[in-house]
Amino acid sequence: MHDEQTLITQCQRGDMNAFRQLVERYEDRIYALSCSIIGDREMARDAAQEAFVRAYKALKNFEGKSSFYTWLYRITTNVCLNIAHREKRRLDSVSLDALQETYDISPDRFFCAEDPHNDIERIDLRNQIQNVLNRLSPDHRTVVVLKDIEDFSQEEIAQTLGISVGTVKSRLSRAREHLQELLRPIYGEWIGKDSA
Amino acid sequence: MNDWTKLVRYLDGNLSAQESQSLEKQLIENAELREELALLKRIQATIAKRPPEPSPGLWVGIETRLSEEGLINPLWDQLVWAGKRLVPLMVAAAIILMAVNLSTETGVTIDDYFDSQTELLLSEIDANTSISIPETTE
Repeated sequence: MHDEQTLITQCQRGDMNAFRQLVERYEDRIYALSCSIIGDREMARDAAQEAFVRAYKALKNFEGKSSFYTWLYRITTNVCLNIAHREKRRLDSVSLDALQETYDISPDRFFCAEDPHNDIERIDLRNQIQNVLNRLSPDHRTVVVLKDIEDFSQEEIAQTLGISVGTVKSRLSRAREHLQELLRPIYGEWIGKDSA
Repeated sequence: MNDWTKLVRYLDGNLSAQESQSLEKQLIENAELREELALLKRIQATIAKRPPEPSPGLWVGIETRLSEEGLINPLWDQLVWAGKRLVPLMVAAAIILMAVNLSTETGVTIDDYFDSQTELLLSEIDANTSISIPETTE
């Protein structure tokens, strides 16, 4: 297993095998990030591939000022945000009923503090969380994903998205407010059940 | 700044020490505010534990795209890759073929050839150094 810098140098010399190793090293995380921002697996797959293709094209100019992973993240969020904005416009023209069908939350599963016990529960929880995230605008969803799932600091989010820290705080605040509004009734139901 | 905005900023570490203390006092007295904070924390914790997606296996698609855009030539890359690994094998095969060819032309078998080479090597060592080869019993 080569270290990252060696692989990058080999890639810059045109070694495809080295690039393949970089792809295999990061594809899980890049695909997961794409899924979270776009909210659709097929489109996320295309986006993740597009991000790696763009990275390959730009790799000759990569100087290592930031880590390769941060740099790849920046490319991926840009690709995903473009797709998510385009998709939002398309979904905005779809009837609200069609969207409501995908909004199916089980309070017991969603608010349960324990991790899922099996694959079915895991897939179910993942879908429920994604359905909630999909209700946010792409910009708000992206800051929540980077903050809460990827555990980025507000400064790192600002750097990744090319916006100010103030804008990150404001988007995060509005995103959380929206999530709170969406989930408050379900939470109330869950608390009611829990105390019964 | 309303209480709710304060809660969000509190949770994200964006309140000053003084503002945090003031809010913590409010939280002690206000059950509704405590519940809002609990919900906020619960949502954040749930999103953070979003289970990962299964491995996507992106390489084939990436390679196809790069090839379609003329950025790589997979066939050429495979040949280069194979070439790097095949050269030592080809050299070894060539030596064996030469030895086989030698044996068919002279009637000397490969074993005879290697035995004669070994004997030659040992006699040279014996002549040049005082190293003695221990006898082996069969």
